Amino acid sequence: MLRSTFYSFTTASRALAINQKSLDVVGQNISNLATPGYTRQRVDRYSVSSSKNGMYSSTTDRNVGQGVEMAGINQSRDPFLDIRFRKEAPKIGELDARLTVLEDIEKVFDETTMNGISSQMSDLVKQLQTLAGKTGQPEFEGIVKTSAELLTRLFNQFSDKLTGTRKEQEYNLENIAIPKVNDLLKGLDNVNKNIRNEQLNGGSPLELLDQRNLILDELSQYVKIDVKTTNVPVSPGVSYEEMTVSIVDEAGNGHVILDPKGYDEFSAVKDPTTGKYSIFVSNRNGTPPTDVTNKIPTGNFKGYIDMLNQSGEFDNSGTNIRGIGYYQGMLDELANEFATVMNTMNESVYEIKGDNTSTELIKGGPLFESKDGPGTPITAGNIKISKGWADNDYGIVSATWEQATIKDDTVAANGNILNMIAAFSKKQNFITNAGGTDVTLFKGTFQEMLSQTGNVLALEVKSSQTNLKNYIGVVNTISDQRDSISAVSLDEEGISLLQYQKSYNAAARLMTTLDEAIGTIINNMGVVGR
Amino acid sequence: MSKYTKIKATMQDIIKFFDEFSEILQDKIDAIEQNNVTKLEQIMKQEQAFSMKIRGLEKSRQTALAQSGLTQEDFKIVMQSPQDDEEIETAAVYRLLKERLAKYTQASEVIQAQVDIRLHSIKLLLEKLENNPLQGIYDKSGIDKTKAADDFKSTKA
Repeated sequence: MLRSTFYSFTTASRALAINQKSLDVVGQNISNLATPGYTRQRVDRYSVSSSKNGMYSSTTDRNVGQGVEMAGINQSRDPFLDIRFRKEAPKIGELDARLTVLEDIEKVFDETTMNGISSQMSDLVKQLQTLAGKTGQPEFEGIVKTSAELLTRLFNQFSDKLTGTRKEQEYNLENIAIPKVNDLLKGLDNVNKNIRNEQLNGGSPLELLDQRNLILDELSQYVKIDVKTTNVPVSPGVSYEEMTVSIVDEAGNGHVILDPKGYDEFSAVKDPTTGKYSIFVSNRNGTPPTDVTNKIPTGNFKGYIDMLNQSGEFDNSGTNIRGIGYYQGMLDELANEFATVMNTMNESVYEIKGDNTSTELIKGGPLFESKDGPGTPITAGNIKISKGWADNDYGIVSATWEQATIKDDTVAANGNILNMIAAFSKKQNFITNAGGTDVTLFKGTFQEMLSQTGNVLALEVKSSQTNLKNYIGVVNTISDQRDSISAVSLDEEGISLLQYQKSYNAAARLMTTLDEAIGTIINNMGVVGR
Repeated sequence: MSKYTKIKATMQDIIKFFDEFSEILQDKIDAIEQNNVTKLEQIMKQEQAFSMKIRGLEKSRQTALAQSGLTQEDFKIVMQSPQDDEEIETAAVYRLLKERLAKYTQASEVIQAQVDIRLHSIKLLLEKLENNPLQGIYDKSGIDKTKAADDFKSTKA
């Protein structure tokens, strides 16, 4: 069977069209070389085979193909790497939030660059030693009192700084992280709607898909997400994509936060009694917000929540996460134990007589008390010099009971002061009660307790820094691989440019040749011998 | 010598082991990130030697526990609420051990992630080499005819 006269014109025309489109795509790629999140595009082309199932075709026909056709413009993207990125990114978000808080706490406990509690304790010991040689001289007791007051102020200052760190992180969670995620979800919802409209109109919303991927990547740093897309066919050849985003817990159970109907909004709620934070999501259907705190196994939110809610050994469940509460607890424990020991050692000295009556030989009393009034436990935040000592109702009890009852003026009655000094070298048991169980936090001197807290903090910082570095390494590896697939390479685009240009020129040349061939048939055939 | 002395000593050995092992794993992570195959091979040999060592330590731990007359569960309960000084000291060591184990697990997870990603890229490369899409034959509706041929099944017995 004869082929149609204009058969190859179609081939040439298709080649011209597709190469022109390919040059357009190369142009788009080159111009978006530095656009964040842009994914390299390519024209998907296929060669068109000849149709052999026509009415007049036969098995002896040797037809050639019908040129090239465009299947569409697609993006070079690897879903595996997208999923993997979104799996690892929340760990960076979590560690980053944790490290920020720990580094802030580290500044509070920094005893190397400034004089802190430990050096003030050493000063108090020094002043007590001086007083031990000058018992009964009020000016030396005044110096001890000043030193002790400075120590209490340092405790207050450290505690205030920790409270400041907590407030700062609460602000960051409530006013920065949560609104940011809500903005991202709102943006995602808008982009999804635009993608759907574009697809329903038969368009190819590649740039919108890039925008959506960028939002999803950013969102994944805050919460661990699971993204599902479904293709919904509308009519033959026309379909649109529906997306569902869920947050997933450790066990893999999801809670949908965005679907075609809309999106949920996150909020951080502080329990007024416990001071602990929970993360809630509003429900679009009007039911009360759902607490999803336990459905957030990792991510920036988790980092904040852990640091604000967890207190390590101080928690009832004895968690492994030492948040701000742990360091606050250790400081409070130190202040409380210190005050308790010193107050116990400064009680009045009585002489018990035979008739069971007693005479106060030396008037004593608590050296430290709580700013919040009697009966409230002494903490780092409320410790102060007791009113009785400050008002000179009583002073430091210098003599021991034995010394006081000997009534020998030749004996230097400073035994109790020496005992106080010795208390600074004595190993104390620092115990807390977590959920009805006594938990020993540390056994050592006051200063050792402080340095132990500093050591724990330093180890936590180091460990978080190493983990963060490692996970950044993982995410960088994924990003590099994504770039090798999705980023625009000028070299490749340059080669494509030459290739499509040559192909275009060749197709134009084919058209000219075919035109000349037709011209031969029309003008020159059958004129031999004329 | 209390019943915890040997357990404590064994746990301290395991802590030391995990400290050293975690350092090796950190070197391994660095070597992977730098694509340093030579260093990676050396580290993997060290890693194999360490894997042998952990079996010995685990056996010592079980023996020490058995000698103390405590089961694993009993031991965990005691460690949750230690009473006397000996138990308090042992609990502190036990906590350290748990922290080191967590650190080791995290390092292992990072290595696993790095390996998974690299294996994926190798797989992609191999697929590209094996199935060059440019060699496909398509009909005018864009259906790959070579794949259609693969789907053909003979009806002959």
